[in-house]
Amino acid sequence: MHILSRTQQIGASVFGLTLSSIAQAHSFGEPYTLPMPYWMYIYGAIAALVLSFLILGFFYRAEQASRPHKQWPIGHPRLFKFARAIKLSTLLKSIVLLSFGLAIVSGLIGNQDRYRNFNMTFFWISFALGASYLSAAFGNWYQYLNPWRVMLAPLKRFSQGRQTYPSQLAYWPAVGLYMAFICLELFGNTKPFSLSLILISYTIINTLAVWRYGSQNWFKYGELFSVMFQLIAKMAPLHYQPSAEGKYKLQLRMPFSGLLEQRVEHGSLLVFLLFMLSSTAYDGLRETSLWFNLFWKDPLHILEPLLGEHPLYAYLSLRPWYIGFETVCLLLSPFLYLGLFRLFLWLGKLITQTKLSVSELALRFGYSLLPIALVYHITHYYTLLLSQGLKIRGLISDPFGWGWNLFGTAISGRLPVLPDMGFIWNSQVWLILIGHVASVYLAHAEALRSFPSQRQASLSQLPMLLLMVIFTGAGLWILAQPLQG
Amino acid sequence: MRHKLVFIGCAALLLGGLWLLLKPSSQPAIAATTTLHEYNFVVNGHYESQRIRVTQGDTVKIEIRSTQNDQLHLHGIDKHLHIAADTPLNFEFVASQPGRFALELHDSGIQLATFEVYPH
Repeated sequence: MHILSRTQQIGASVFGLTLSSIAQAHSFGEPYTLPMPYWMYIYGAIAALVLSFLILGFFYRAEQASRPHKQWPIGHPRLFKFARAIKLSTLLKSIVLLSFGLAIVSGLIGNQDRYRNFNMTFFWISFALGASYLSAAFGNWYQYLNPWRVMLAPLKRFSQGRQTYPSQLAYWPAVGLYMAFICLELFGNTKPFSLSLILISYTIINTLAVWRYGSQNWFKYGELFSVMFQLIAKMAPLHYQPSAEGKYKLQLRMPFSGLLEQRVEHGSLLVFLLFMLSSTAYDGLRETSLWFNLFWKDPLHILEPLLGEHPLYAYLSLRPWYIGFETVCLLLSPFLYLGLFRLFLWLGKLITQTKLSVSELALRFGYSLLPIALVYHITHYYTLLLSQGLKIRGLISDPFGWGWNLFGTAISGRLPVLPDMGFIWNSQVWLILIGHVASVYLAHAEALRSFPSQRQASLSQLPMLLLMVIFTGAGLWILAQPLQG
Repeated sequence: MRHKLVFIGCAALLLGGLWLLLKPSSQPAIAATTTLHEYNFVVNGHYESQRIRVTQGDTVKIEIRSTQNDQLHLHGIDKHLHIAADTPLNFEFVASQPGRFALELHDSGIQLATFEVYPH
């Protein structure tokens, strides 16, 4: 039975403006997730608190923390022999390199519809999201298949570098590039053509930097995806490394255990890591009605007296200011998180009377925030991999959007895979709780190593627990907020 | 080992109890009624995106009139339609998939609406 709800004439020119463009959130692809029901957010926040204290109560012995974490070698030698026989590494390198080449060409000459051209889905979804999650599952694969590294590898003399890498630069180039990348993602409104130009520019930047500082250094400190995927790979249950005799070794380990006994190398890497967390939170926040209205509805009456009219009416002149305001908030966000992190570490220092400086504590405890950052990223974006990422199958058949059907898989009206909303909400809560538990556990293990007594270690964790509950709670809260249209 | 088991047991008990405590009791299903929503969009270069809330199973009827040729794309059900200038385009769909789905005009880059399809 149908009930006719309303017939609406949705009017044009409400304010004579294109407000739609304010609401358009990403450069490409919108997650289709609905706000989480409020009770689930409350549940998640309380559960995080309860679990934190359980961990504190149960895993308190110093000998547990100093025990080396287990690793199990896997993979039969025959498997590696087979991989070598079919030249697996060369094959994979060629696929990655060719995909990037195709992405650049298809953007330059192909259809400019963002959903018809191969390059938007390939770069923003398959690579930026998919490759992150591949790193979380399969470890440090990117170190071997990085297309820019592969591209420059044959030029041995060129990639040696002309000067030693300045130590004060540390990971700052990667932080800068990461910030530029997120700005493009959120405000860039890229089209296939501009994306190709961006990829070409990024290739030039990498080539020049490798020429100057050498492949080894640039792909450790500067290239943003190397730094990001290397951080994520530390949490993977698989780790791959060449043994002393030059043979390859594949190790299985507990998820997140790669972060145990690790100290963040430099403050810049800590900022990078915090930006992973803060940029995701910020992306979630700016899609909510709350954030949108904070500026455009002017609840504190700051803008109206300045402008002489309601901000919505001054939309055209205010829009660049709004983008500026959002960019500033985004770029400040990791430093806000850093301030919070240091504040809570300082509280821990007060309680424990430790001689370690706040900066040293920040580096020692920094990695314990990574699981929260990872699960938060996954809960925000994984549905995009399903709704948009899987379309890469069809796009490969028609990369330029010219109506080809090379492999018989071209877009044929096949619907994307969209899991049930109940499943999505549940997975969000549980993933966030798993990340929270991992973070609390890692921080506690670090405390047992850093502080002389168990009592001190447990006490030091009270402020840290509070901070992690705040991060987790805030993350869930954002997921439960109504979104702007 | 015993330690870990006790931890897992306590955690499961607390999480389960809390879940039962907080989960709202589910409403008995209301007789299967679906709603028909009709929307009429007129686009002449300026537009404010609408947030339209419907319930899973509802039917949505849409008429769109634009002053220029364009490509219409409804995400989620992945409908691509061509709009000719000044010719009304009519189509309808059943909102069978919960989620948020944008209705966009690709050539002019205008987002007409976001459909929020809530589960029952």
